[in-house]
Amino acid sequence: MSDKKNVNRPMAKGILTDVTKCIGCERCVEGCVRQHKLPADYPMKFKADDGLSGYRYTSIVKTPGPKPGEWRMVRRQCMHCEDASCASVCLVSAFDKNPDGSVSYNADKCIGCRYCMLGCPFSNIRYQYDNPIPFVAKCKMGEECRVEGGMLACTTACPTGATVYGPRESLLKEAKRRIKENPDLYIDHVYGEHDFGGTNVMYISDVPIEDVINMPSAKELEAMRVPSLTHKSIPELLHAWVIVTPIQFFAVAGSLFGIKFLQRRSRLMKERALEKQANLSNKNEGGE
Amino acid sequence: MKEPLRLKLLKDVLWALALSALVVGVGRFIFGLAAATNMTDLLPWGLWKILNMIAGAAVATSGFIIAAVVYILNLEKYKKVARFSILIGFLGYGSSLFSLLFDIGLPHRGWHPFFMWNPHSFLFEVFWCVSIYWSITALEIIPLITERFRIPKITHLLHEYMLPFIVLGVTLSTMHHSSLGSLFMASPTRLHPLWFSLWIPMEFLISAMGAGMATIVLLMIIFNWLYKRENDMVVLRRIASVSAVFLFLYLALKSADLTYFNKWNFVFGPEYTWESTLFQLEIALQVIFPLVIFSIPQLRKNMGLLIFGCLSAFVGLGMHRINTGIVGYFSSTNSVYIPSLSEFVLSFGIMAATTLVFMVLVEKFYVFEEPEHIEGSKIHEAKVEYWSLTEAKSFFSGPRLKRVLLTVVIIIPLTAFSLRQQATGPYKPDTRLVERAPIAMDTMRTWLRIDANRNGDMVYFPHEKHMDKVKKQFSIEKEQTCQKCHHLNAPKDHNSSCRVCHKDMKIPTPIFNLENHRDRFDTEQKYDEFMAYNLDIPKENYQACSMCHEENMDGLIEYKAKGFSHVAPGFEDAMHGLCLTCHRQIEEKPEDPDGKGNCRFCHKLNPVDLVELMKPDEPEGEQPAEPIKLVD
Repeated sequence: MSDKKNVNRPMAKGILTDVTKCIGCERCVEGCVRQHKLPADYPMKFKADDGLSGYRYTSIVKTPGPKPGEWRMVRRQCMHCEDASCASVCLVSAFDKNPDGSVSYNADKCIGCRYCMLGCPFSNIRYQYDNPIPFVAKCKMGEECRVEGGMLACTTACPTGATVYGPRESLLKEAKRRIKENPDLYIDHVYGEHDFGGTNVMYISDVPIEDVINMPSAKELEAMRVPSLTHKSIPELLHAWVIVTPIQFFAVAGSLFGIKFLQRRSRLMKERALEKQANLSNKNEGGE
Repeated sequence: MKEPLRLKLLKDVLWALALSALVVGVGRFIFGLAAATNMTDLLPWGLWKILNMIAGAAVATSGFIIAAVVYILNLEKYKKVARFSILIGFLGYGSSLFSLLFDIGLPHRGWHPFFMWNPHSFLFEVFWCVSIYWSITALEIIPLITERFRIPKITHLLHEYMLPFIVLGVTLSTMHHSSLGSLFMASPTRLHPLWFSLWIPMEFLISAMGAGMATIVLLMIIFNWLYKRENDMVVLRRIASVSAVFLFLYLALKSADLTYFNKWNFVFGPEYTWESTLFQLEIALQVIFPLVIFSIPQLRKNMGLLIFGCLSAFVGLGMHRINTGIVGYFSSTNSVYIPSLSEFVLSFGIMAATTLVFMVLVEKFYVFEEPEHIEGSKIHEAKVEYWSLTEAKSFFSGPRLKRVLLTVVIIIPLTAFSLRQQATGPYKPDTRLVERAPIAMDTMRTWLRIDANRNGDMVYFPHEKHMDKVKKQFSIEKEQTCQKCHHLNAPKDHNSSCRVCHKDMKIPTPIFNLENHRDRFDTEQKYDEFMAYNLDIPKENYQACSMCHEENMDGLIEYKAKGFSHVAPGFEDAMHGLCLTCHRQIEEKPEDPDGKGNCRFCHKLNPVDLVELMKPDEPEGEQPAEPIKLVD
């Protein structure tokens, strides 16, 4: 399915994060902070453990490495899904999927219902709860992120090349090449290639990072009784129910009017029968 | 007319709750959601949405069922309940929508969904259905007002043309009840499988119908008790028995769901968790108890059991909605949401205010029955005449006012206290822009990046290793080391100089001998000052090393100019940057016999042997105070 969508968006770009290369320096975070002129973050006690917040669009999460005592750093950010759940659930369509692959947020439309946060399977959308005029915070990956050379502030800042920006197709090829060259090191899975209908932000890693980026594995999805999400997006899963709504409207309204109509008809019939009887009896009376 | 004690007490409690909610509501708009609620980024839908909107809509569902029964199926028997339940629908939805104004972030944009469409969204459907349905219930209760003020024309007109609106209202009701369920279909991986299902819309609709009817019986009994009216037991029992049908349907649907999606494991089987217990309790309360009581006539006749059944269905329904909306998300997000006191206060306060409005309507209007049910002569005696000025006066003065004032004095400070962080004011993030990278961006890193010369030239600092080193060297506790001065929660600690940590930077080491560099200091006094550098001076007076020693930091900038990176990836580069520039300059001078720019000048042999080998190289006379042991 994701392949079909890519045909529609040949310019789709994405980010590939190689967990084995990340040293956790947080230069990407810093680049993002400087680019968007974000204020200082609030203290840890108000934040989720993963470091994303209303004022941080990306963060680095520490996770155990392959051996005890070793650690791996995973960059967290919006996954920019091919078929984005947030764009599908937002009631004022404040989220748009753009031709460049990014999912952008239009703050002018937002009413603050936070349904996008509930709908995001990766919980990558955050809210400025402390702000009396709050907005949703989320990685942008769009024009406002670009520095010289048309690259993103976060990926240019990376000193080790652990996170790179480019066309999704070539990133996918690169990811597969890396896995092929180092099959002993990497897990043979490009996170985000097909999962949840495909995402534009992809990961390759030598340790399982499902729990870190909240992208359940096929086994976990099986346990949650939604196994089709390994290749289907959530909007696709729910598509049938959106169609049901108008059908339900006409069915219920129609049947109610039908009941009413039948009632009226039977009442009329009864009245007519009564009238006939009355007429008959009148006639009979007259006849006598 | 003297109010009985039970009414007086109840109204006081409701007034107190409503007033406290007012305080919380104002506080929420001034300080933001963080001050009033415990919602987090991972659990973004809190009590106000789930309890007031989603559970509230389910409880107020009775309006549409009774309307359908009375006006479409023409069952006159239930007409006595119709007005009561439609009014409950109107007020219930009204209070739900009102509480949403506090919950959504930007309530002044509440009109947006009317113009900005996204037909794919279930919430969009809910919004439209609920807003239209609410308008229709408003239309349906207009006769209440027109009868009271004796405008028979409008009453008649409404009676005449009500049918399409009622059909539309009933249709929209079924639609939004199922859509309220579909809202949670958007999170298949986060909601616990016991509550998530692709059949959840039907489950929401049927459970709302079943328990909604039980709720109308409960409310009927309560209000009849309050106003000392006779319970029409035949009608109530009838409603209860119809409710049993829907409860049974719900039970069947839920079991089919559990079977179809193979989820019995979660209820009894090997995947038993605390959620399973909660689910069993919920099903028992919502379905099993009421179903048993309502479907057996002998039990149904017992007033106490009937009340228990209705109460149980009511509580179970609320539990189901809260489990679906809040509790089901706990285990997948690894977080817990316990509503704050102010959330509870606002939630129940709005309900209390709604109840007060309802009581006013009950007292002043014909709520329990339409006027034709009252015998002709009694119509004008049954109710007080129009509100008069004196009545209004007595409402705002006298004992009621005193009680209200008392509650204001006691309740408002208590409520204001319930706003979180009230003592210190709401948390305000530092709004200054980050111009340079903070020393530590985050607290969980092994590696920190330190701004070495406050020019954006970074040094990688293996934090944990250094902590271990310092601990071993000085055998002190973790809390007393670096963290003592600049705790990591001070994320913008720009003012600390390198010397706060690197106070041993220029203390003689096996490689570096300070005495050799004594001539680098302009005066003896400066040397003494340096040696006696007092770390106890206020933080504001700290200076970066480079403020005085610009020339020493050249190396790092040079490193940057070479185009490798402007990051010094470690201690090695930092030391090279600090020393090598000078050494190279000296090497070029003819009077340098030692070749100070040569690597071998410092790195004579491998570091272990250096400790021994440095000693002969010491200048004669003064020995360094005590060479500091290097621990790797």
